[in-house]
Amino acid sequence: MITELLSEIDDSAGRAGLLDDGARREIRRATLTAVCVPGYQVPFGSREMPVARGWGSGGLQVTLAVIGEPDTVKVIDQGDDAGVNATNLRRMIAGTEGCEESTDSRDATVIQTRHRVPEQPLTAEHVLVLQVPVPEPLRGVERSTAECDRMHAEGDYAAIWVSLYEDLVRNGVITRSTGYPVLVDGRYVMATTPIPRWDVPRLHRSPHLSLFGAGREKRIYAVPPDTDVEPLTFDDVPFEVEGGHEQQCALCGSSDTFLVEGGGGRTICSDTEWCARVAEGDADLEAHAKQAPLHLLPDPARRVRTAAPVTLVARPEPARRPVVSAAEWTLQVAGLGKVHGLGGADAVAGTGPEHGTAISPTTGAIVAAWDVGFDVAPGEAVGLIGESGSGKSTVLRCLVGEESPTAGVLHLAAVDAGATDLFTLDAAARRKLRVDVLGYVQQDPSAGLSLNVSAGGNIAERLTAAGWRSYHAIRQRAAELLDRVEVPLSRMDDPVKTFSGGMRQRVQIAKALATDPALLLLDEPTTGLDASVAAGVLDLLRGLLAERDVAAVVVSHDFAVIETLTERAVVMQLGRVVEHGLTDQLFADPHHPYTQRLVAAARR
Amino acid sequence: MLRIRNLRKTFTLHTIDGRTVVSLDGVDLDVAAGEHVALAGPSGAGKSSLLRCVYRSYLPDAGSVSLDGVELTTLPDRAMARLRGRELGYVSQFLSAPPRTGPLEVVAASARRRGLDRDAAREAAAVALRAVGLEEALWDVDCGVLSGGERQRINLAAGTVAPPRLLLLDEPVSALDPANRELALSRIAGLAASGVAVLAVFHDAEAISRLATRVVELTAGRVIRTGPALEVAS
Amino acid sequence: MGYSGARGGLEAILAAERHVRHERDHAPVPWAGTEQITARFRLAVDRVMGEAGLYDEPTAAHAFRQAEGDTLEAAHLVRAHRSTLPRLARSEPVDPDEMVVLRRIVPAHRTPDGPQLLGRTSDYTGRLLERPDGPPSPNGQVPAPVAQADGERRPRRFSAMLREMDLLVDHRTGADPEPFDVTRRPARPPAPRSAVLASMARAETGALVGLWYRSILGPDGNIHEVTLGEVRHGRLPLRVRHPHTGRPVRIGTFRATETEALEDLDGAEEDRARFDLGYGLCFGHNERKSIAMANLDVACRRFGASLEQVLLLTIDGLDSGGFLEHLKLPHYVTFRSMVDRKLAVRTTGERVRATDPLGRDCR
Repeated sequence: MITELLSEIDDSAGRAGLLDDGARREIRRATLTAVCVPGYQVPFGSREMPVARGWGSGGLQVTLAVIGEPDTVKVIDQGDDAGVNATNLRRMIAGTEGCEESTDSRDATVIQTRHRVPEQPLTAEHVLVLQVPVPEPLRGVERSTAECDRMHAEGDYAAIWVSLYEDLVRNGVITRSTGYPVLVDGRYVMATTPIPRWDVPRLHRSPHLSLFGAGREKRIYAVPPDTDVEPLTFDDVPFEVEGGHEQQCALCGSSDTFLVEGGGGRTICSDTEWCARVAEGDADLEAHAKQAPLHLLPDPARRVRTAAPVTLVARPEPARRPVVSAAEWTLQVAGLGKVHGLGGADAVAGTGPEHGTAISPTTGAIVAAWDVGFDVAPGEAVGLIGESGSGKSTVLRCLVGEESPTAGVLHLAAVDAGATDLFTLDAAARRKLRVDVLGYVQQDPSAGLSLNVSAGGNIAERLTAAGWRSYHAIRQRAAELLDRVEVPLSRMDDPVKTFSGGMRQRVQIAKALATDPALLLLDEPTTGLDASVAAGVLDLLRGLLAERDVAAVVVSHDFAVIETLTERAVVMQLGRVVEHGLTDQLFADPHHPYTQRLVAAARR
Repeated sequence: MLRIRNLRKTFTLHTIDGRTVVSLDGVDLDVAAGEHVALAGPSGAGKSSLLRCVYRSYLPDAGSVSLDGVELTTLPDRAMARLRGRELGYVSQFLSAPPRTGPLEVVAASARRRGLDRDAAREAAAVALRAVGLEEALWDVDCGVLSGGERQRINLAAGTVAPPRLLLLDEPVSALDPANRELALSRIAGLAASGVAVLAVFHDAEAISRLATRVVELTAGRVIRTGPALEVAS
Repeated sequence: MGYSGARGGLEAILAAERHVRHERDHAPVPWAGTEQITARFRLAVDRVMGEAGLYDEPTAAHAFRQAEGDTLEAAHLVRAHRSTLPRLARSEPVDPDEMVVLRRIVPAHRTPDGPQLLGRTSDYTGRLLERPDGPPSPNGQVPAPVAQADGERRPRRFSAMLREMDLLVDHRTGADPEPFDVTRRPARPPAPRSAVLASMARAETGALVGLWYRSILGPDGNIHEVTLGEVRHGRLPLRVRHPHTGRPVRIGTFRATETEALEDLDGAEEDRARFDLGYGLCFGHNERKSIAMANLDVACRRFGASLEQVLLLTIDGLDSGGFLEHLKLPHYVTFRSMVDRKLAVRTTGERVRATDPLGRDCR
């Protein structure tokens, strides 16, 4: 029986095409999903093809999945039907699928292509299949694929915007050449495969369906007909296609096509079909001219002037946030607990200051914080003080959303007028809050900054995340902020890694303030700095808090920091709040033995 | 306006075997608007502690401190923090100013905390600095490089600018030469005249006799005498 | 058809193909039959089966011959062939304890349960080049047959003893019950352990060994103190459910290499009282691959995300080889676009920053 079956398989192997039917169905399903979610990279069980990965195995699979006998296939590589790769794929497809093959785009129903969109205007009758070597548009800005997936899922594209900003700062133009990233249907950032920028506008609201197959990376994505495809660029920085100098094809005379070197210093059309038809007079030149991206040819006069310094107008008075009487607090946290390890709330018994340990005697779990509560009013700064291991940083990380607590509730007046417990939100929603509701300054500036990115670019990250899309407005805002934190504007375009520790911390503070958050969380903001530098940063923070009406939580082991910045403070020991009060009172008249020890240490 | 009843404060020094030190042992005291009450008594009598208990830099153990009927000892921290500033001010002996700030900025910042807008604050600061006799040439100099006397005058200007309703003064003129002392004292005298209630500690009898409408003498944390200024001072 | 200039490419391709066929298939030497290849190039055939993920010696041998001995190319041929076949059944899970060993060594123990069985290996043979001028004369010495007693054929694993002594961290959490099929679903981090193991089992052997070496001596330092618990090569039965009776039926056997590697845990948060056990299993006889795999299995668990991404996405020979080879395709359209940007940077005329003429310091 089994042997019979196996021999049957062997027989069928000869006549089945390059893919078995199950695989075709699977790829068709993935393709349909891709059409339904424009620009989203749909994972699929990519099969091995008779061509190498990288030689169009993805495009080939998509073509095989959508093509049938009534179809006519055209395959081009670099716009050329005669290239060896194109020829090879075309004979493979036509040879196994029994469809027609053609080099005339007008006859073709399925056009598989590498690196070009045909010059011939396409219609609703066409399916364009593009071979994709690297489908991930975020590859250049993020190395972790898991992180790229997260960015797409959350629409968190600040990193790629920052890369465009940095490009403009360094080079005066966006230097991305092919595979230019586009925003599809206002949602997903997509790589346009390596088609030249010249072809990118051809995908925007086009009548044809474009399918993108990446075999090696096992992804399929699509741009359905009449879908918005917008190249990523700032509102005040025009997208540029190739060209700009007077050139025309040496063979057909066209000057509205994508040209390549033709030898002997001549340029010729990359699309050999179009070129030949123009020469023969068999081409609708008018229709073609209408869709040629001539309006996007580079205009050096409209480029950003990189060397032009940002001029500061008189520093505006920061807008005082109206203190709404209804919102007595900006932040309110209650019953916050965090247990690392087993047991959850059951692990708490037997821990805390009175037991002298944070380690649960029953489960061995570490009770990093338990039953911590406080609130912060608009314009008020509250300190969290304790030695390392007291749980203060754990509390702050829970507030920021870097850790999820075991127990407790957290409300922010800025979120649903304080109705929502933020601890019930998912990680993505918490991350969004960090864009405009929370400013976070970490002890180590390198944790809160991208060191290879310029000071201005670091601020641009927060601004672009918040939706800023004007290059000049971003620069202006960044300059104002850097000026406020006393970073010389001459350093604005230098990578942060060239900055001293104190300067880095100032940049981090400027970044945290970029979107005027209602709440500022400061985690040991001066701890890593030399004493004199720390004093300057402390002074800056004091001034900023005084002028901004921002609510702040300041975590420090250093009474001097808490005393300078806060009016009220909470003292933590072994995960518990042991005392709270007015900061000067805690310092002048500490009640808890632990607080007295802290004060005694601070006075030495 | 200020009403203190049976105020007690004992310090427990956990760092020295839990030793206790009694500082205030049942103090009763009232200060009315426009009144200037001076605290007198030997050092260690509890004068500064009393001021700090009112300001709540010290947390009293028992008794009551009320300002216009609001009980301060049990007021929530945040409400107390708000009350400080517009309602209640404290002027210590020494200026504590952030580095690299000049006198005008320090005093104007204080006025802003007391509710003036930016321009009004600068104006009020200028008036206050003139009143304590600080030359205009020094107004933008880093406070850190000024003399002790100059710093104390800046401190007084900051403490008395846009004055709150009750002002607590803790030896605010101790480091001044006679001429500046004269200016400072008249600045303080003007406060009570404008309706501010003042509770003050001075180290010399002359200031007390010049300014106080009433003197309260403390010894070992208790009020032993109270009466019109001259009576007690003599 | 309005345009007809597209035939030159095809002729060139056909000529190239003829070239290959002629010189490979019609070289004036005896034909290498499939049995020749499976018998004389056993390890190459095993490697092709492993990297192709398809166990069939004749198919692998055909591919090996067609690819002129290029194992990666041969694996590609086998996999592309596999794409044309329907999937008729899924096998029952294979229990490696059923392996009938042909070779088994336990480096971590002097006298383990069961034999230390060298089997067919040239590990201890001097690497002296032999240049026989024809088939060696039969010497009549037939190796002694492998022991027949069940305890000898299916020895108890060394790790079973360690487990009894409670010396192993237990990772059998049941969190990953259904093996991840990397041939049908793309595996991306974070992925279950079975996806990582399956990726390694099909990996290009050289890539895996290179990665292992980088991990133990290179900048990653993910592996530090490894002892091999056990390396086995043997036969395993393959069963499928009978389409009519629904009962498992044995349809054949396949050879596999299996490794268990012991890692001394030394991280601050790790259990210093126990060892971690890494697992490797691949088709055919390929000890290098299965040992590297077992080591990297532990490293991936301990050092997580970045290594996981490397193991899932960068060690497949068809992926890496194909992408490399695609650089040979024409790129003149994209290159022209790049040149355009170089010129654009120049015409802005405002070099903001002095750049290193040698192009260093790219980050």
